[in-house]
Amino acid sequence: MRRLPILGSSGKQYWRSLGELQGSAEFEASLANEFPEGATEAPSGVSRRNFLSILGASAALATLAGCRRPEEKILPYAKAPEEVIPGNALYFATALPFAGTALGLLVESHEGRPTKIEGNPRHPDSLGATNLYAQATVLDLYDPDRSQHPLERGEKRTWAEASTFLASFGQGLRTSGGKGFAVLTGAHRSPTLAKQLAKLQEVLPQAKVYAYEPLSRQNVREGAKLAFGKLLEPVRDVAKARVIAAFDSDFLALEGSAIKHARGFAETRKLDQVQDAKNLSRLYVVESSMTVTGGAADHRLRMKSGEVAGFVFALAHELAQSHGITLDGDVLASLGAAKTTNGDKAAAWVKALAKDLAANKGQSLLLAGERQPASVHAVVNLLNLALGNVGATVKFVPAFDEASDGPESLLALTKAIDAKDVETLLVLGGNPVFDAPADAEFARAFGSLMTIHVGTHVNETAAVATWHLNQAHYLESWGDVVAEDGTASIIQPLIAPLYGGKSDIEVVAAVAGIQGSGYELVRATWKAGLLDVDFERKWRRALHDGFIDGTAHRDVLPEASTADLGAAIKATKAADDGFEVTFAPDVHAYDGRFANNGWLQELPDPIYKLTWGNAALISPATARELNVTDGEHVTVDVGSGRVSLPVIVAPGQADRSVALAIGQGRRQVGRVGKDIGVDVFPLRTSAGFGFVSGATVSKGPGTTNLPRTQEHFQMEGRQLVRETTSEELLADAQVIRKMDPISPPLLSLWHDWEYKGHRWGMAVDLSTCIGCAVCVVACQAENNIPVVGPDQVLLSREMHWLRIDRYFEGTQDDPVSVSQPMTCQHCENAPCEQVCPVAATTHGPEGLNDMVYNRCIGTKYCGNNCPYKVRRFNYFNFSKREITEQRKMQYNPDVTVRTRGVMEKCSFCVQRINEAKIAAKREGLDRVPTDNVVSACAQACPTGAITFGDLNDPNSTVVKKLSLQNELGYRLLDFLNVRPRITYLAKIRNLNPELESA
Amino acid sequence: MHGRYIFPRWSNRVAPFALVGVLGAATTAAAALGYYGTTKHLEVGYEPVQPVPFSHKLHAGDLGMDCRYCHSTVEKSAFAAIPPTQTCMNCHDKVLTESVKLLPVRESAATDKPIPWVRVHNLPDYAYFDHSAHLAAGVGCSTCHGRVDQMVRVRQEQPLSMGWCLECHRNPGPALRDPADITKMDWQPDPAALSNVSFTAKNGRELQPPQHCSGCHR
Amino acid sequence: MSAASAQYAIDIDERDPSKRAPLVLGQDASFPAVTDRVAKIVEEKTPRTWLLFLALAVSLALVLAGSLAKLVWDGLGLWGLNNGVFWAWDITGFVFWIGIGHAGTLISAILFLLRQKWRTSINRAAEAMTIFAVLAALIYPTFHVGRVWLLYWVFPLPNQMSMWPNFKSPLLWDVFAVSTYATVSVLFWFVGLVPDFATLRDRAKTKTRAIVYGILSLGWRGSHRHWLTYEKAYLIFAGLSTPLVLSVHTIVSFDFATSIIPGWHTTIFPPYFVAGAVFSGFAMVVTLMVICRKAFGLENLLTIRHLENMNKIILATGSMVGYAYGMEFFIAWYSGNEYERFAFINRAFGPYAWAYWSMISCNVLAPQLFWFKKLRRSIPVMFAVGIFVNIGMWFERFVIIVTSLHRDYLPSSWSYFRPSIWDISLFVGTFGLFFTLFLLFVRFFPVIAIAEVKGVMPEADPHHHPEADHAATEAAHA
Repeated sequence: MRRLPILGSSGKQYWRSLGELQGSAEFEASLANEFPEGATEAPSGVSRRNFLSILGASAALATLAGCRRPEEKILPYAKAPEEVIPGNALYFATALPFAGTALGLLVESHEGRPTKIEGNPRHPDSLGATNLYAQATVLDLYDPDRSQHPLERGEKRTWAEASTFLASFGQGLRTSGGKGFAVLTGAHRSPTLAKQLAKLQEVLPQAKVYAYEPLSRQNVREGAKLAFGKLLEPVRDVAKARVIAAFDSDFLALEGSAIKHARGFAETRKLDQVQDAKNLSRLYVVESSMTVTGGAADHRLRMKSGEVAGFVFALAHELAQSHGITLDGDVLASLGAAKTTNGDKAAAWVKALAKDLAANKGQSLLLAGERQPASVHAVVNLLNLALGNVGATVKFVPAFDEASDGPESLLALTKAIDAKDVETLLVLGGNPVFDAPADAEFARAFGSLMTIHVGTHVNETAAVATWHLNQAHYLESWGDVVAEDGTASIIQPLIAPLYGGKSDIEVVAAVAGIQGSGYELVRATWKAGLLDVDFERKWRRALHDGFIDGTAHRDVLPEASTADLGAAIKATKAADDGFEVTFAPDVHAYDGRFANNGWLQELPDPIYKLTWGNAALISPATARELNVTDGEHVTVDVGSGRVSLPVIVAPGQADRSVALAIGQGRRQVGRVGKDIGVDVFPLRTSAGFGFVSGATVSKGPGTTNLPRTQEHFQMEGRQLVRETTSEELLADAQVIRKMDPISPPLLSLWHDWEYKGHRWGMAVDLSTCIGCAVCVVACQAENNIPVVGPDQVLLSREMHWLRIDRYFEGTQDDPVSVSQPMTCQHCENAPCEQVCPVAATTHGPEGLNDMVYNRCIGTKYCGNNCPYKVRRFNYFNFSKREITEQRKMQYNPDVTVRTRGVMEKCSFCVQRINEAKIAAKREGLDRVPTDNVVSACAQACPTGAITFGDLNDPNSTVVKKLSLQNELGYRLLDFLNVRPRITYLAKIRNLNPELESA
Repeated sequence: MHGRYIFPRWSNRVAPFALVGVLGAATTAAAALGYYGTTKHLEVGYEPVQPVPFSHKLHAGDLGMDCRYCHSTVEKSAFAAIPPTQTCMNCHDKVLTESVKLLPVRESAATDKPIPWVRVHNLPDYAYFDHSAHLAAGVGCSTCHGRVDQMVRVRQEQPLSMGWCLECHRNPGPALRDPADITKMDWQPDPAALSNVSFTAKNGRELQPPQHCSGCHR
Repeated sequence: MSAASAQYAIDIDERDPSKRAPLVLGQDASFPAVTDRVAKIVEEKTPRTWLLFLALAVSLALVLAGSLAKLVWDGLGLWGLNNGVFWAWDITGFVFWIGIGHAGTLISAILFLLRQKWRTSINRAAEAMTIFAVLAALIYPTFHVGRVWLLYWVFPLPNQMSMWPNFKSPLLWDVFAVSTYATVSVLFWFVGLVPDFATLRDRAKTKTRAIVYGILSLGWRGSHRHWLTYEKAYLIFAGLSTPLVLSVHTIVSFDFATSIIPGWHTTIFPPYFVAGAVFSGFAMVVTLMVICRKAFGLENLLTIRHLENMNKIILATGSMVGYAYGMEFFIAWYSGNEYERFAFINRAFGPYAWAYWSMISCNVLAPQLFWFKKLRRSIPVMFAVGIFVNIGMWFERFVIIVTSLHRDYLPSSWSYFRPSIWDISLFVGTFGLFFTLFLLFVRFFPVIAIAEVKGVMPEADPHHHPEADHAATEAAHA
């Protein structure tokens, strides 16, 4: 029971409560079997033949038979599948639909088990990198709490029964012409699904289709309509921009094609020689709470989200008045009427920003946050147009469909239900019962219906639905998705559905009475579409490449058509000076869909390092006003609802603005997400969907110990993150060097080793690191790093090998922020190695600081003597406690799973290095070819801030990256003479002289 | 001092004898553990009964089949995979189709359920041994697996202990052969090579057999 | 100046400075009296109070056993340790006990070589205490490792991995230093016990006693040859132990001194640790002796003067330790190294300031009372100070270990250590073990080295004149 907490009651919260954990600590683990099998066993309850015949080497450990040692069985394939070579991984291209776009992915698969997600370098929205959520989806696939069979009113049903039901249900509808039937989708971008829905409406003329997305991008589309008269979607090319102004928009991390934006931004911040400092881009950010984007800004102005509209209008007005930007008269008039700037600083900003934008026509870029009203987007669009940015830094492409997925659609749906126009509802994915706007009262309406819910988890909606159908994960099913710029990808499964789930496509088809599997339906779509000629070849090519060539939209050149804009501007609410509440996706749970994902829940949020849950962010001034400190509760009341939750006193937060993260506090969720965080949807209405003013906030009863991984955010005047401005750098190329502490000549006790062969090293460019933390999850996925749970994080025992240090400088209210990836520095003169009594950590001939788990006896001396504190100790049997049969399937078989009582740390992905070296040996080469090894963190990094490679290879990326190391490069705590192998490149800010005072 | 003695005369000699005895016992115990406690004595000779009485002597020896016919991945992957049932059936759907001994094989082929072979050569999961790398360097099968071609039932010939691995990694010379002879079972190291330390493969490539931890432990 | 004249400063008679004061007083000042006085403790019927204390000590020892079992079963996560503060109460406890285990050998070895006669009545108990303290100390390094069942890897044994331990590691030096120290201390102690065991054997009323003490006394007959060999052996052991007294704690201090953590990486550590160890050791001896002499009526053998001498040493070593504290700060400032400076400012004014100031007040301030003869000779005062010093010395190790670790180079990884209930239970348990052993010792072994005490009595002097001696005794009485 204890070994497999998934079984029986001992499984409940099995790795979160101390009591449980004491039960599950495994002392009897015999030495012979100390490290759990790296390879997997045939998962019980998974009816899939491939898994019963897993590769030769993966052995199911039988019970101790015979005295000499446990007898292991080897289960070879009965019929070997093509291409599969036991022990060698295969990679398949697929795509992840996410946040109004698609991420092209390459998925690593070991003997039929997807184990690791990487980006597809050739996909326009992935560019070889990934985001947090893509990395974590592989854990979702193996989530033991996934919905494993259909449910009828909570009763288990087989898929056979479910299929017969669907057939007869569809039959019935078709006779009635679909009267009283409605479908509720999310904001999907799947041509095949769209086609099935269209067919559905053909056969069921009276059926309705609604769409709803808790993080809707409707305002963006509406904004385009207001400005250009048609539904368009912006596609930004940040790389072309010299001046970037983001208004309440976290476009580098969470909005739209964030990876593409981040890569583009990094392009504009790279230095190959010092002179490049002249043409760095400049990023202005105006926002209410510190985001990843705000953290990367050169100039950041904090103001309530509600004040942003007034500010943008003021900016537009200023541009029109003093910089000859032509705007329609009515618009200009209403801008003049609606513009507001709160305070001199904002006013100064308007002037300076307008000047800078006007000076960079055609190479500037303005962005508005998705939660800002349509009018703001419209004005931003007009400015981009007027400044000649459209076609250069921002293109417009036709929207994927006409459907509106904003809160209004749910209001409409509820109205229709109450009016008995809708009696049966099919919900495709999503969780509207949980995440609908409060005023829609959707839960109530939903209860009164005959409902079918399709989803991967039994969530709040599934729990109350008449029928719940377990949906296949995107790694289990066929599908397709269109990226922001129109590039289409085929979603191909890497594994047959673990629990025999079906995709939304298949369900809709079944209802519409369309024959064929998901595979056939997707093929049909594309056979009819682009790939008609020479289909098979193109199809195979599309599957291989991960996207369909030539599907990207040609951009439409829009013209201003601003008939309704003036009115919209006037209608835009201006902020009052009361309390404001803003809603943003939760870093851990996104909109709630990842609430049961241990990797994401334990990931420290990029700015305030909170794990496991959400909190209300308030500024230090507001905290003083409310007389609360970190962890104390506040009660937030917006009239329609009230919620009490702990606060984080957040430097950089706008005063009297309370930032809330949606998606936590799930009620119907698996073991991981249970009792985590606070649900803030009761506060979110269709009127105040992005943010709402006029809230009342007061100190509430109770406090919560917030599990944060960093408590101290000041650098104490130490030269940890070195930074300078482009001006200073141009004036004196050695400005960074001059920050070196004066230190006596560094002598070593040991003889220096000559690194003849490879010399593995890493460069981290702090100018392009935005601190998004994708590397952290990637590292966790690659290296079988256990999740320890909030209790242990509270004791600062998190296991992440790679962490992102966040420091604030300047005033507490209005700080500048820097982030610094921190992991084992692989010191050439490593202090940890000298103190280990059993030589469990030693130095390799290529400069790796090897950590040998199976030699470690756990004195922890190395951890004490590590000046970077990057070593992690297994205080309990962490990995054992999270192992379920499903979880084992995700494990990377090339990395030992660590047991209790041993130290661990970053290995520079030594498994990847060895793989490459052995491959080279096979081919009779003496060295690994250039750039054949890339660490998991470097591979996942959206901006390419982390580069890894062979320092002895003049052609390697890392060596090129270090071309400026004599000017910008520095090694952390170099004066200790530990000789770290990671070189940091100093952060360069590009300040606007006019705002430097501000 | 009272004149009465409570200890017999011989007790004078107890102390020195006891001392010698204890020391002797301790050293013997240590030596015994050091000698019998190793894999050399725990593992070598392990010869489990297999579900199918497959004879390597017959196939590899008498019939002279090349090892790689069945263990086909040995040059491409870390694992010298146990062949799929298919491979057996390539011949045995024509040869000995009625044999009772082959019943499990035919069953497996029919039901598509794997044959549960018992693992003989078993390294700990934290030791990442790679067949392909060793073959590429010119280390042959028989060097570690012994004369499999003479074994009716496969038995472990070598200790496969860390110390044993290191011996060879410190001087691979004697174990290196011409890649052509990789599967040659009766290959003998040339006596000259035994003495001198050599790190050059027979195909002239400079070898770097890892002696550092992460060479095998990840 | 010679050792002999030096000790006048300590052992001088109050009345007549030209005379050396006697170390044994009153009616006990004769050979038979001394023997009776000491042997009585072993021979009389078991006192109730003793049983009571033993029961208490044993139950605490059981707490130790329980805590250890739980620890091995569940893992080090039971303690309050975290990523950053990887050592806390465990190594604190280790250094604390090892420190206490210093006085014994110092008294019996170094004072012996320096011909300090007053050592004779205290050395036996002090040595016993040393051995028990070292045992208590060894529990920590043994059980603070993550996988205790593999601890034997720290010993250089031949193995199939062909792996040696890492001889560069101070932790390994510890293994050798402490085990050597323990072995030599035990042998030294036992050699000293042999003649007294013989005495007990000869006085034995029951057969079992006769046999047990007979075996322990290894057939000692008290012949001249025996005495000759004995004296040689004793001298040799004294010679062997002396360097060890200094080396053990020097090497223990290397665990910290050789690291690169500000607050640990300090060259002053070896002398500072040795002084601290002697300091705490003597404090513990005084504490225990004060109880013993009262409980077993040994006032005439363990005179105020003995205690006073020890208090003087406490005062001296205490001041040395105080000097070291000050010097640490001076060097931190003088080095100009911002990290060093921060480490010490953080000690005194950071989150653990409370620990630092309790250390200062217990270790530096409390012993200063001993500047005053009255207080130096007052039993209650010296008892209290002894307790304070031991508390203070525990805090010293806690301060060094935890405050240095919890805030080192990168502020991002700073944390705060809080002990768990299991940290506490284990520490309390070690006291249980220590006192159990000590109680058994006082009941069944001669608490005072009978033979040696006799050796320093006037009667032992061939030119002994009873009346001269009598005068001195009178003097002491007044």
